[in-house]
Amino acid sequence: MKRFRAHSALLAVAALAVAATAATAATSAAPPLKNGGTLTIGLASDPDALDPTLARTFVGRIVFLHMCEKLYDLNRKLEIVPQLAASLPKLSGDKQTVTIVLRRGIKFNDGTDFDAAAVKKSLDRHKTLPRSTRASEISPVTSVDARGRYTVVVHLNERFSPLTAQLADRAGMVMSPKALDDLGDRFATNPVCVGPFMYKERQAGDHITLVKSPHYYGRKNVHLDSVVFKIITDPSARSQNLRSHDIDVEDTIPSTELRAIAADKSLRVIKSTSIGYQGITLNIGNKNGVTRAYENVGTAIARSSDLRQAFELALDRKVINRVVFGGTNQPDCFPWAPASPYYAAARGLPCHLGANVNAAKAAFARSGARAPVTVKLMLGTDPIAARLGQVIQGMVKPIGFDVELQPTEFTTSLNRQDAGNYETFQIGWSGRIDPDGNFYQFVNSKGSQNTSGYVNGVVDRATNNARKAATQKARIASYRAALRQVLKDLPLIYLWHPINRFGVTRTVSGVQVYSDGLIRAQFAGFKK
Amino acid sequence: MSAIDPAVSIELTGRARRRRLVRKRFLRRPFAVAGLVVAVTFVLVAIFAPIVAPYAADASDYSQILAKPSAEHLLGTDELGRDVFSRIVWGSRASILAGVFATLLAMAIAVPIGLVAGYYRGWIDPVIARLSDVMLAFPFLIVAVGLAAILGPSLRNATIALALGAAPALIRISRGEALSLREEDYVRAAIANGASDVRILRRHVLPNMLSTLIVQATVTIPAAIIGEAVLSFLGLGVQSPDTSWGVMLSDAKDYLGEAPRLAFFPGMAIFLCSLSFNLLGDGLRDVLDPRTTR
Amino acid sequence: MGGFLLQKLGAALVVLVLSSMLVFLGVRALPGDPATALGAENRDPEVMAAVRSKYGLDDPLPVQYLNWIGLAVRGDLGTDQRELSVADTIVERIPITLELAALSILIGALIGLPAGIVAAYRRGKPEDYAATTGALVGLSVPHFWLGLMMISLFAVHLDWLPAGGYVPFSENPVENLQHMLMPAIVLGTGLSAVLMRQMRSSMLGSLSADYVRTARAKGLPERTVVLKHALRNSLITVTTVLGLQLGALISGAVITEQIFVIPGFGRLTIDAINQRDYALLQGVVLVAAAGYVVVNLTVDVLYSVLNPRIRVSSKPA
Repeated sequence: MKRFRAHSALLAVAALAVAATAATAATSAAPPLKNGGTLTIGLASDPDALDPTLARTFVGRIVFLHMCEKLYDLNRKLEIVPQLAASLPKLSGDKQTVTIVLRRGIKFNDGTDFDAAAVKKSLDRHKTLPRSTRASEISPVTSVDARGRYTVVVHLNERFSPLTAQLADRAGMVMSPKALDDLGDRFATNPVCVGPFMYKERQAGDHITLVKSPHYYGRKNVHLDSVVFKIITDPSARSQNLRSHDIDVEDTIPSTELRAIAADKSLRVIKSTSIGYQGITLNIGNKNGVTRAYENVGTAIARSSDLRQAFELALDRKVINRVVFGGTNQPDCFPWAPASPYYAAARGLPCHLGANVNAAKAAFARSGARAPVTVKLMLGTDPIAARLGQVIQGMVKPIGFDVELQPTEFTTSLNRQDAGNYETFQIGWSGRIDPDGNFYQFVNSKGSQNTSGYVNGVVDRATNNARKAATQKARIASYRAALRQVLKDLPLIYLWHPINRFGVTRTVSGVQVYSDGLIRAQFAGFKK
Repeated sequence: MSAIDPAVSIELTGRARRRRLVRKRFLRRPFAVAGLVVAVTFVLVAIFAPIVAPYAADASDYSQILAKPSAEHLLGTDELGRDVFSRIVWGSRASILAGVFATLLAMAIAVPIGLVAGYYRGWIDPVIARLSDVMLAFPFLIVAVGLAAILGPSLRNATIALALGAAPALIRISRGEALSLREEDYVRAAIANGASDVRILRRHVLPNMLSTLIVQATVTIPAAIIGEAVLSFLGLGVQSPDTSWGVMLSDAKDYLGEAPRLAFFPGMAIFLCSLSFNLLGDGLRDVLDPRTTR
Repeated sequence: MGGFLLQKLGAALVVLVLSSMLVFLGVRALPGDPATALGAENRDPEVMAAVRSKYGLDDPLPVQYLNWIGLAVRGDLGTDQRELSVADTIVERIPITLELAALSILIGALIGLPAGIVAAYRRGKPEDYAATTGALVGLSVPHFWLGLMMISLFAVHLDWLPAGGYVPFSENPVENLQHMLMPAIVLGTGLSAVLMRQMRSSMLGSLSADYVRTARAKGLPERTVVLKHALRNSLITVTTVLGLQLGALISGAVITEQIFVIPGFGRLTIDAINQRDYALLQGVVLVAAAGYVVVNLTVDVLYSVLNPRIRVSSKPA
């Protein structure tokens, strides 16, 4: 008895000591934060409708992060963790029934209760609302049941491992049933979800104001009174606003302003290497629209892989990075970021970061084409895209290509790409956690975003195997086989991985950016 | 020079004598002469660009990005290592082409319409007036953006938009001229003599409108040049690899802190070119319109 | 007076209706299927059908036009891509551009009118040459270049004024004016040049008129005569010039708001076209055209009030 109590006493003291040091470590790591204040975040573009069922823009996700929590979220390591759910989903034996247990004691920002019925209502809406952009993301979902107050059962018509990842994005956002009843498809005029902040007002193209929610379950950790998203599309103007402290956080510092901001002692720069890529998609077989029957479109560049090789060999990825981006991005030849374990699939495959002009000219000669070959390049309308276009024009001209630039507004360019109404398109992909998400849908003949119209048996087999394979090693081997073929046929030319930089004023603490590129300031605050 | 009644001199002394009078009066105005010289210089530079420019407009030297002015690059280089002086020379082509053609196109549209409205009056006059009011109700920039969106951005479409923007004012002026000339004695005499409308318009009305039209043209050209710069600045006009002064200003916008000279030089070119045409136009107006005295 | 007013009003209405038709057709002429723009990623035929029926895109054109116009005159301009009310957005933005326009006119008048008076009074002397050359310079300077140069000097290098943006007057009048100063100067410069020339020419006209000489002969002090005519001519000049320059002012506002990142009405137009936001675009251009017609009408009426000779000569010949 005595020994036991002495031991337990020692244990108690030890535990207390550990706890004390841990507590001091924690508090000395994070500076004390004031309660109150308004954080102003300068966004690069205006979100579209603030309705999770209809939303399509990347910046919209930044706003949602602060006012509309989801069933699941990502942590810093980009692992899926529960947010409104209590735990990761449980799958049935045939993997077609998914059970999600919800957290309890949560209220929507209008005070109503969060429960399984609300989740069912939101998921049903994502599936069935006529203009829903979520429907294709959760297409295998056939029905959703609310079992009891805190359990949701999702029924699928086939195995669908990306489901959890989708529920960690907008498809997993839950809207207040009362707001849905009141507003219907005008939900965006006054959106109500679960979130540390709630919607106050919005002026189209200018700003969005959120205020602290008194109903949020974690409100003890929320320090700010409000968050204002200011829309400043011009990159120089946005940086100037950061330097003059009219905004506290800047979304995407342009490379031309980086030096000035890095030198400013009152600001700090957050670096975030994207899990995506940027490159050029070449239209080979997309004549009638993506997912319809593919046949060669007949342009010079579509008919000859030698010509595509010549084009790619003429591009100097290092110079592009230096001249257009001031050396701030990561030039590469592959769809996965070097930090990803699946980058090993690229081992042994050819990649030149500089140009190989002789090989380019040889490939051009092999194709038998007569110079100049006109190539239309669709790209964005911003000044950076303009610079990139001009550099590409200059690089391929000595080889025998006449590039015709077609600056096109973003949504229009996506529509044209889908319809096959383009020759080449400078476009990127923001990236997905699973390597399949950066590759399959673009190069597999049944891929939903195979806007190149590319059909190749080797690639199809290899990418399908990669989906079914059991081990990482087997998947890597399959991806290598597919990638080798893709690099020969070049339906896509991978050019660089963006390294995004965000500016934050030093009076603020707690603003984070993970590799998904979303600004997270829910629990940030001004330093005391 | 003794004051001769201009109306009489037109009919009695013939064109040659009038031209000599105009030239003498013009040469007495230093500003107008300066304007003529500079404007002609710009036009010549535009025509002989391949000879004047030391480099091609899109010749990039990546080792000399944002270089300061030097012997090798008179005005320095831009963010892609291209020679600024050469780009200004090549860019003058787009600007002056747009300016001149937009004005010619506008006149080709506006003068006949205005002539008909002013000369015939009747029911056609208010109809034309309303239609030109509708044209005026749409700021030319919005029309230009719309046209670029429908037909695609290009120098040609920008020129059309500029012409449409300049036309309403020219319609109003030619209408006014036709209206007042119609009341002149010699025109009434010709009508009384039974001359056909076409003959009257051709022999009596149009030639006497000429001086006003010339003045208007030299004043519309600089507005069109600035208009082209605005459209190219917004990305709606000239497309890469071709360049214009407006495109150069658009590229320079991101570098106002690092290299303000990239914006200064092309803007200066627009300013000087526009100023020279304006001085020329003002001088011509003083000289050709006998009613103004100075 | 009544007949004259009615005539002008009738003309304005005709222009308004024609303009609305032009807006409607122009927006429809933009490339790309509006249904695709509204339902983008979803090429699902059911989704597209739902979009088409919601926006009435399958109705015959005249029906679509009448539906739109019918709602528009009642103040309902529909919702934009963000599901926000177009009318609300426009109402929020117009005062900002009006403030910019008002400040520009003020600056233009403060510079241009006195310059014109002096130039006319001192005709042929150095002051005249200086003023006239100054006006020519003001006309020739590309105003957006002036804006860029001012930003570079006063905002980036000297840090005296903000580079852009907007603060509502109600929130902070001082900051509001700080933000508006450079844009207003940029727009006002061109206006001052036109005002100066017009003022000079109208002053010259009236200073040599018979009744002025008579007034002088009567022994009235020179200054009184000049000032009295100056005042009346100012009003006429400003009104005339505004009527002619309104279109240029709006175009100028569009690009000035772009450069100085001011959330005004001008920028809204460009943004709407770039984003292919058809509902917003239709509403914005309609309001712009309507505004122009209304202002023009007001200017015409004002002008006739100030200058009775016009009313008389407008009777059909």
